[in-house]
Amino acid sequence: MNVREAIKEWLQYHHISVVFGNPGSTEIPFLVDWPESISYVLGLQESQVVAMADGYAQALGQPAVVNLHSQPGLGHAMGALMTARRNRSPLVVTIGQEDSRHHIVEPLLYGNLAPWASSIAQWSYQPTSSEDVVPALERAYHEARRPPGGPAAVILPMDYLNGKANWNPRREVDYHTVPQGINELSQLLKASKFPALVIGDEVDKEDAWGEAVSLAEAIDCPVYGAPLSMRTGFPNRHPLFQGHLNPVMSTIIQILSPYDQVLVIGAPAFLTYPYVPGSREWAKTIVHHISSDPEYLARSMASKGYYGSVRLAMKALLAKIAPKEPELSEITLQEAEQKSTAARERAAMGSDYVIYTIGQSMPADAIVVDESVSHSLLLRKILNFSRQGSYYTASNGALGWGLAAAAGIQLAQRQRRVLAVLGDGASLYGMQSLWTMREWHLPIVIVILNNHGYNILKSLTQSLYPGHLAKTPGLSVEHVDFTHLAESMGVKAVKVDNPFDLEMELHTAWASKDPYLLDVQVDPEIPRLL
Amino acid sequence: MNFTVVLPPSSRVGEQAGLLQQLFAGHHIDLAFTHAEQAKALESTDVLVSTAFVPVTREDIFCASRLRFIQVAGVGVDHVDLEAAREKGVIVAGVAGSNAQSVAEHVIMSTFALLRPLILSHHDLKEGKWNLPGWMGQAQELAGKTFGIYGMGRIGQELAKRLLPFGVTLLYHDLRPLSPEEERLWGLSFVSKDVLFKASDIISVHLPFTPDLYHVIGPQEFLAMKDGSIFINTARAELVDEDALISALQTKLLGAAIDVLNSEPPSAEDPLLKLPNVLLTPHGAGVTIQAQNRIAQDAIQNVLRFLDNRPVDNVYVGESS
Repeated sequence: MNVREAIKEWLQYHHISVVFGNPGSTEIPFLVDWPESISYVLGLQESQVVAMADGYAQALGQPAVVNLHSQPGLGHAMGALMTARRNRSPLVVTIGQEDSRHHIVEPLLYGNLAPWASSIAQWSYQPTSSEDVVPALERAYHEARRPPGGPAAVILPMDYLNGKANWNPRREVDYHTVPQGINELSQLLKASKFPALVIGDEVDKEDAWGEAVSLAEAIDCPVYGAPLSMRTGFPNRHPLFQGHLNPVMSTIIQILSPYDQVLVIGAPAFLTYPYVPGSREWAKTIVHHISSDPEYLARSMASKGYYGSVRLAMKALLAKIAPKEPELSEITLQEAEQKSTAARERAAMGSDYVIYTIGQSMPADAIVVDESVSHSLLLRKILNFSRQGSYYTASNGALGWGLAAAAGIQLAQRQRRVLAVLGDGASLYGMQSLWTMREWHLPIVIVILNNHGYNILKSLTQSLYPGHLAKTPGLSVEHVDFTHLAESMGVKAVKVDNPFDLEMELHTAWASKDPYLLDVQVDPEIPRLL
Repeated sequence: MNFTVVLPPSSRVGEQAGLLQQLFAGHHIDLAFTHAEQAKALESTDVLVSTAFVPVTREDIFCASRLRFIQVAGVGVDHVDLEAAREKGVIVAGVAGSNAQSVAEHVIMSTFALLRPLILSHHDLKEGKWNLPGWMGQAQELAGKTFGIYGMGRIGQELAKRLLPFGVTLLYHDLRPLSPEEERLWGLSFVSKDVLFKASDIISVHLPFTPDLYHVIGPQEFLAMKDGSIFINTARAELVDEDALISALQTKLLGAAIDVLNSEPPSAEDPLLKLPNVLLTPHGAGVTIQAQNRIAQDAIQNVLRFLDNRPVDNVYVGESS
């Protein structure tokens, strides 16, 4: 068996039915004789295919394979790979390489790629022979899954794919472990007078919403969402949920200081933006931190960290903490507040109104991909997330990820609808993924919250340098025709500038069987950041 | 045709009487200001234009042999014996909603006056006390508060529309919820009565009075209310257990604005008059010059409909045409 054939067999062995890519000449050996049972999803630029694979892997909970084109393609993909690394997203990244027999003369597409890829990958490797290729892919599969999860890169010289394959994988690795010290932690929580929980992305990744809700109800304590969490792991309409923490350290300390014991589960402790002067010291609060990510624990602000599976940890805690009956209110006042605020802002197409109306229109099990940037905090507050795998965002603030990730997530979750909410500035980093959505008839509802610029930067400028916004260049993006841009790639699109049209077009969008883009002219008021 | 028009005691009587003579030229009009004057005029009247200041009793109705139509020039027809009118076959109509805007504004005025200790501060200053520290410790914004509206008829709806721009969260309870579309447009959330009293910072009552609603707000409701909250009643006194209100004002409420009293006018011994945190008005929340004009116009239009054998509006007793 040659390596080309063995790679396809290896993909099928791992039940990998989708490969994302954007090929160049070095990828032709990889693509020839492609089997019908595996879909090759073409994206129109490498950053987009990596983001698609990132979304797909997260939504599926398994490694995704992405195929890049030697050093130019890796160059394009670096930003998206960094995002995937920060997202802890397991990707097997194949990177084409010139034929090994003329590396010595450094031909056009050659690059010393393994060290380059290693700067963003959990593991990177260029096989030393054709026999080495499939074992390298097999190792990459497990390296990508290795906690905390991330890209693992294999560089594929063209000639190796024609050589003889050697393949004997058959390896299963269970990375989930029960953290040590749970017994002691349960005693502290039981004895605590004012405990609180902070829930992060790992809870969603490990499909542990049920355990998180049971634990919160058993302790009967307030629950916060981790700041800027890339996934949400707790129903935001639950009576114990207090909202997401703001990504400002002094605010986090201020909010959590009334509690004597705080347990952070499956999140960095804490991810912040921007810098605001103030103490990083806790007064009396004791912070505990459970994570399957040793990096999170290494840089944690907690006084004690527990390494291992958050789901197993919560199960172990639940076995030791007898549940209390929570007091459930008939209505969350938060919903009423949002309804009143939305009605108040309706005429001006204010952000609260637009996001509330989007929320009212979407199916209960919809998946939200958020690249709305200046609207993100509001979006997390207003939209209703009630089940696992409902919310995704890039963990490192990268733009250009959202549309592609939405495509990948919709490919992985065909039975649920995907809503992509993007800022106008953000969407322009990855607009070509609309083409992929249309080619695959992915019924994604895309909402561009169009305030004609980088409002998050305007907000930051106003906060840091009051009165200087008018003299700060580079923050406005005018004169983009989003509807024609989308229609040029076959995606139906409408511009919406009034409440009546918004309500009607959202209805039409959700009824569509193809991608549908709404260019929503939202009130350009600059939000207060600090 | 003979008319009896009962006018309220106001400085605009001459103006109103002149207008009526002009509108109903060719008809005989008796003006009445007291029950005795009304009773005398009713002996020969076909149409009675009634106001809440003079009751229309069973005896009045049965003694008025020619009476066919009672048009109430006001909101609420409690002062008319509707059962007697039904038995005698007399049509009774009102002018619903004409004062809704005035009542809504009154509620908002009262809310602000209580959130800022307006009246107390005014009196302090008149008495030579410059109590800025006291003001600083009490004055509150309305924005961010939860406002509960008990009864979502025309007045409740007018109130909701006017409150929304103030940055409040709006809750309401009514036997008949609004449509989801209306709720969304006005930012209203329907809740149970229990939640309304528990969750609201300010509660304003806008129910009509029917016997089954007697003391619908009593000790249990006041117990549920938040400490430091505000209670406003511009609807009907009979809806509220006044003893329970007084107790709540003494123990937990920031204040109350009361436009309708068990005894009107109240006696000098009425305990509500003794409480510092009550804002009292003489059943006049809906009685502005503009509302009176609208009420007069609506009442006149209804009488003209009756005279033309067209359907009359807001019928309480009898067929509309």
